[in-house]
Amino acid sequence: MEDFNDNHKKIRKIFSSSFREKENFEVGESWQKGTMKKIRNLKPLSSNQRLFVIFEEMCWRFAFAASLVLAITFSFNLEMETQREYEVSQVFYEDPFDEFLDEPLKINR
Amino acid sequence: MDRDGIDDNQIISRVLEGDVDAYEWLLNKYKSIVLNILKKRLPFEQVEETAQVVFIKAYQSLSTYKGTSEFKNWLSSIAVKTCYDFWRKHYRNRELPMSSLSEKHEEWLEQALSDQSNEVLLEKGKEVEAKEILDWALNKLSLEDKMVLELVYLEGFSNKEASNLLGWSVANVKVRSFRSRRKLEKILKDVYQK
Repeated sequence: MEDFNDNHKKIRKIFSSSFREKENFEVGESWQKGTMKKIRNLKPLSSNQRLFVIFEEMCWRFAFAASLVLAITFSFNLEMETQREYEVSQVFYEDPFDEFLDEPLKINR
Repeated sequence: MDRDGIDDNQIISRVLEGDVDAYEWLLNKYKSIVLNILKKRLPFEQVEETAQVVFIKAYQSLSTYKGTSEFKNWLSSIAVKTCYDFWRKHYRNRELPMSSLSEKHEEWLEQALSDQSNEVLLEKGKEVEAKEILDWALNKLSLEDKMVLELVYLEGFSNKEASNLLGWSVANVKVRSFRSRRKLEKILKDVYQK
């Protein structure tokens, strides 16, 4: 095992040296001109884009808090809605005719 | 700040204000760094074209550069991610240098490991056989393993630096680098313990 570890350190040295030593690569002036030509054909950048990026970042920063508020509001509304429906149906079942319908319809018994 | 007293951020501001020609200054300054990253990771004939892609991508996303880290690091990260994107499309159809190692390679490896000094090992790394064995071993790994090994194991980047370059979490880099290193060790162990 010791021999393996020792060998592995050596192998790492050899391969690191090999990886760094990969052949030199030079590009000519035509490459640079070609790249700039392609870039000039693109739409020029504007500082508005940077503002948009900042705005987008701000939006994401507050996204979690906004979703949380939305979820709480939604569950609160849902709770209120069921409560109201429950109360109405309770009135109806407890006193279906006497008070619930008589009064608004002005029925005199 | 450059030797001429020009700051990258000044140039970037000019480009963002619509001065496209100012971008050529950045291109000229950083092309060797980008080419250096690409030449190690891509087939020779793909380097020029991919380098153009890197600079176009960098130009298009220049407004997202915050200036908190050096421009060089930001650009290097785009270069590494572009290599990763390239291989994601082509890794299955990649050209394998050799299906297996020849006796010549095994002998070379055995000889290279026999009680050599540091200088000799570094010189050995410059020989063709070292490149061939390394390519052969790396090609046995998955793309993600290969990418992380190249950065951490071969180039000596820290996990944090590699995570910035790849756009992965530090934990992911740590785990993957550990596992891929074990895989590489096993591949090589099988060769020199034959």
